[in-house]
Amino acid sequence: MAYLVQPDYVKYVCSCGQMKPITNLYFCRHCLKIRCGFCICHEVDSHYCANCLENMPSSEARLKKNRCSSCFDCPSCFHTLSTRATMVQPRQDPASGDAKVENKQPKKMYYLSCFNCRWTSRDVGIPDQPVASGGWPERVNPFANRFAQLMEYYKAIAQQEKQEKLDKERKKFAIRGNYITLTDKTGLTGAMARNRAGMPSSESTSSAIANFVLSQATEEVEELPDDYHSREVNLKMITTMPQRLASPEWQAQQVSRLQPIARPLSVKRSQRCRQCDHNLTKPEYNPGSIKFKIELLAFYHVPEVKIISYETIKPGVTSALLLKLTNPTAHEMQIQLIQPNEVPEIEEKEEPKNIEKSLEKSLNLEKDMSWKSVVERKPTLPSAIKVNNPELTFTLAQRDDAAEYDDDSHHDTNDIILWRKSNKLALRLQLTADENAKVGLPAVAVVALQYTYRNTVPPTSTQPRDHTLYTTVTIDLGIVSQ
Amino acid sequence: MTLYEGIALIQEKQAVVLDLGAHYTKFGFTGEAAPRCIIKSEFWCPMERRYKQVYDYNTTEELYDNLVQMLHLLYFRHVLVNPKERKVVVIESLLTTTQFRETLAKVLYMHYEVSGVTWWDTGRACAATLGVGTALVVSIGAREAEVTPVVHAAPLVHAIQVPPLGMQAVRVHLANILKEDNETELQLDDNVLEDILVRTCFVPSRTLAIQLASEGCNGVRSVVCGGAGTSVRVTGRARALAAEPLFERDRDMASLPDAVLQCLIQCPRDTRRVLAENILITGGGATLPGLKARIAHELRHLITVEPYKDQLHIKTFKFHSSPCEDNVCAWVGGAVCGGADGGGRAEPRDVYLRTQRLRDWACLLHNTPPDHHHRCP
Amino acid sequence: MSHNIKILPGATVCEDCTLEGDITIGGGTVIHPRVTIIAEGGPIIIAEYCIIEEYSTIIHKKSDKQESPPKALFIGAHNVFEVGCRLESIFGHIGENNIFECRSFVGVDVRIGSGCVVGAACCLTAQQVLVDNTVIWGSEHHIREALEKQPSQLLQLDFLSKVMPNYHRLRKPNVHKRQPSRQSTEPAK
Repeated sequence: MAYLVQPDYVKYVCSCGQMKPITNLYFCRHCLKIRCGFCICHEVDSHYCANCLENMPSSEARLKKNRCSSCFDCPSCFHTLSTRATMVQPRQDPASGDAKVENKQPKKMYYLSCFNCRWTSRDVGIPDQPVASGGWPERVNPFANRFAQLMEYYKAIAQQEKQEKLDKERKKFAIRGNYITLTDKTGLTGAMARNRAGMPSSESTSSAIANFVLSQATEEVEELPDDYHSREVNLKMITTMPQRLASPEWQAQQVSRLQPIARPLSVKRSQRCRQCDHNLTKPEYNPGSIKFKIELLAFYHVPEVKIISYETIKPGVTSALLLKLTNPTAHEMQIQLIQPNEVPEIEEKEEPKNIEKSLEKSLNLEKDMSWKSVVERKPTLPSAIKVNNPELTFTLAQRDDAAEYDDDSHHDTNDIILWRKSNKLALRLQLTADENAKVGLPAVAVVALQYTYRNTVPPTSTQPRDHTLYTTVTIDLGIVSQ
Repeated sequence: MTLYEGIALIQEKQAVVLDLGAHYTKFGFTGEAAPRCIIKSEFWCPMERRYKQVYDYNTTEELYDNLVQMLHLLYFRHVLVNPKERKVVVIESLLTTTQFRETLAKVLYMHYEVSGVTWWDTGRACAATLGVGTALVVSIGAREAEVTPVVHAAPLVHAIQVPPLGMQAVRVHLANILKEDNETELQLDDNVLEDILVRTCFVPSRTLAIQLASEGCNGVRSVVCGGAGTSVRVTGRARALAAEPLFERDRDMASLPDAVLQCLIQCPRDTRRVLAENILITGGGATLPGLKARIAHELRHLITVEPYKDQLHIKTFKFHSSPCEDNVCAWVGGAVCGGADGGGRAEPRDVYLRTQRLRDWACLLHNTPPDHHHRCP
Repeated sequence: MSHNIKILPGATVCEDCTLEGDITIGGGTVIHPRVTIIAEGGPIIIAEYCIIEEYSTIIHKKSDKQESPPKALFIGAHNVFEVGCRLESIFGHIGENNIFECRSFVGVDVRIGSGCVVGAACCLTAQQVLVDNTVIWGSEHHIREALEKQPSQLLQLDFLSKVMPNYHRLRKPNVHKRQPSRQSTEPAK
């Protein structure tokens, strides 16, 4: 069970060992394993502006530094700015005289305004624009020039180093002969090699290094004005830290230097199982749509466990726990409760190494599994509370959206199964808390489910359609009380 | 030629530069003059339902999780690129713990599968923004100030001074003064303190500081800070003396200017003069108004008194200013260098995966000279 | 409490609102239903072209150091009181072109100039003076200073005064001779 604003009471153990609520989990239909955000591979799928819901191809997004060209954020409170229109009487130019009478019509001018903090682009002296979108003055980084020089300088140095290395190597292998080849003498090979490698010729490198002006140190340091301490401080004129950091390029210290911030784009992500490289989720391209093309969520494949109620846990006392189980799949499901340590370890099948395989390896084609060692962990499951599992396998009907209209008369309730209703049932379980359970510590019960699952992927000849899968669930039952 | 260069640009993905500071993280692309984002080094932790600092960890595993979440935030919320198959330039302090480095490497190489990582230390990266090979970099960070002499583009490791005089110390001092002056227990949030520090505080010049110490701070204007609900009176004393811990010379001579001079003493004689004439004061703390000037004053004063008078024969101190905002200086250095070599120095992923360890200056495995008899073959 | 409510011609005052004490409402002002205006500490004078929206409350509180005759609370022209805001100021004067956004609260110790904006849900209780063109917003009460006054809501006023009569019972203007609002500040005793 997952809540928006409450802690997660029921958590599932992901195949990588993380414990997450079912709403945060995915289910790979190809590996038949639960996956979570930690153990899958995230990829940027498409860029879009969350304000105007406009798509932007990734090449264009890169060009525009991941910023929307038509939407702006308020530099003062980071709310979205809106464009407002005003009618302006065009100023009569005294030089041109009153010849242009038709110019007297009022013109629509636009400025940006924030509805939250009422900041406007007029506040900082940005002139109104004649067009509604775009055309706002762009500011360049004041250090851009110097940065470009530095860049050129270091590139030249890197180039030179590379060249020297090349020369050294060539010298090493050069046959010491009595004659110099013509090409060596004219430096043609060097130039050709450079040309091939797409490097600028050596002359330009050396000139870049020679022309570069090193930073000059000075004895003077910028001092504060003498009366700085006795001046009045107007906090409304000084920007706050978030305001400065919102535009890393110029970090305005004065409120009057704030500039509208082009709105940063957002991305839609697609997610991929690291094991088999199949997509777990793939969003629709349209930014306005919140649907997915592929959406393999655990919520649709793994039986869901919810707490109905429980008795307070006391050390050494047996108490009752009522759970609700739901089968979200379109197939009947056999479920059995087992102890968490009975869950069989899934052994990684080592495929027989054949020639093809080793060839793949040598060609670096083999799947890179290095992530496994760092991502996968052994979960530490608390064991203070023992669930007395009933020796019972029960069947959960498939999900049927029409079932709620049926009169559900059929019941096979007993001591354990409280009630059934289409694809749901309620269980009464007995819990025994350990006598040594510390009072005041969180009480967490662990239940493992063994359930049957019918794979809906079009079957290949080798794969069976029905599988027996396991999942481990931790249930938060408050704290151990006296 | 330009055509080829263009193709090369498309083929080689622009690397990203990561400067994971204690308070603020700078992240962006190489070859750009400013980072794409400067955000707090914290993320929303859904398990603990709070904002969690990256540096808030007890175990390596927890650090690993923190880094995974932080990088996820950076890659997919701010810079919007796939981490896979892209190189990274990491700006780090030379004194980063091995635990942190190795975990960060693991996260980058194995979790995010980046294609290569270049490791740059703060000192060299800051010096690189100047273009000079030799500089004394005084980087005032969140937790500590780091004084690194860089000679011919190599940091002199034995002379590095790292006094715990970062902005955190200033913030704590400011909180104490405010508490005294307001005569109440103020429960000020870190953000509010930072806001007060950034917007109202300044560092008085040396003469003014002496004057204030003798006459009291009544001449300094006070200001009421904070929102309409909870306002804090920031007295002149708080404004002027907040940064005083950086300059407090007790018997240990542990002030920031002392650290600079002690660093110079540790340096080889022939480099001292050059270093003193190429000082770069930078880091987020250096943005405090008047701080650079005050350090200059203090240096010029201290050099005339014991014990430096006899040990250092330096006449002039000269200061550089970097072509960027001070708080992103190291990042910009990384962006320049990382962009210039095109990722050629990066340690590729497959090399890392073979041994799963990083080269480190503190490790004799990498630092024994090749002809030394302790060197493993 | 004596009820002495003067509504000048041109004002649109809905019947379904609580008006207590000595209140003068200027021409062109629109008062929505469910508004509470209580003048217990002295008269309240609302100038022209104000909008007072639903569930907003304006109270002229009784204070200990009451002058006698009690000083009037004068609310300047073109003020906008948005839904659910509350104003308890005892200072005699509130400027023009202010906007009190939804559910904002202005306590007794706050002086307000002209062109100020008190943001949604902002709660001003500490003693302070809002100089002209101050904007307060957000849960952390960020303050900034706007360059110019907020644009007035004349179009909205126009619309409201046309539409209101179609859907609500209105109180009739009871002062027919239009008099300068300053003169009506004299307590009508």
